[in-house]
Amino acid sequence: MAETVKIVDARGSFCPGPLMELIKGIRQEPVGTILEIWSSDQGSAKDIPEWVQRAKHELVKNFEEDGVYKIQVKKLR
Amino acid sequence: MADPQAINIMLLSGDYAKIQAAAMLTTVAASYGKPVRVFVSMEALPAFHRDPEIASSITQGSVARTLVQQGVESYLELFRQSKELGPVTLYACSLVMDVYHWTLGDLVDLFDDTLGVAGFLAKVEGESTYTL
Repeated sequence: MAETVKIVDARGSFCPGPLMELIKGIRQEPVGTILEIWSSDQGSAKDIPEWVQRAKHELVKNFEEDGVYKIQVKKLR
Repeated sequence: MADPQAINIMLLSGDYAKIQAAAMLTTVAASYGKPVRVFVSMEALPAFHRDPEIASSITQGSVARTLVQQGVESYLELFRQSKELGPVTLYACSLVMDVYHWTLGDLVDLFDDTLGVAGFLAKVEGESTYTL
């Protein structure tokens, strides 16, 4: 069964807004949850993976779709 | 004892962009669980006054004006979020408080205490400290 992905829509939010939305989302969800953050801020596509590595979560995917940066993160702890 | 993870910021400038940068650094550092101390002094402290007229006395360059116009979260909102994320302590400089006869009640509800330079130096000895 495919894992459920929880979408966090932070389009229109500026740096570090999308990261903050992801952090809020991660804190609310149980370990193992995959969150997909949507951002229209291209800095987030670089910044969020840095944060994910540093915060010891897992970067699942990082791609752009129709001008929206989509970063999937699995909560590991 | 010096904490190699801790980050300390001396926030002295009354320039909106520098205060915003300090708030961003604080918020992201706090999200890693790093202890952050922010010593707010000199021209930066009025930016945290409850009276909007005093708070708006700080300068805004073209980047800062654009940030405000586009509704980017303000430094006050970021500092509030940072305190929810990790051990963030804000100190108001006792010199500026004294010369204006302000108390902590005159400032926004972000400060943990007032502190002098000697107190700040004692707390941050051996730790990373940035000045903005």
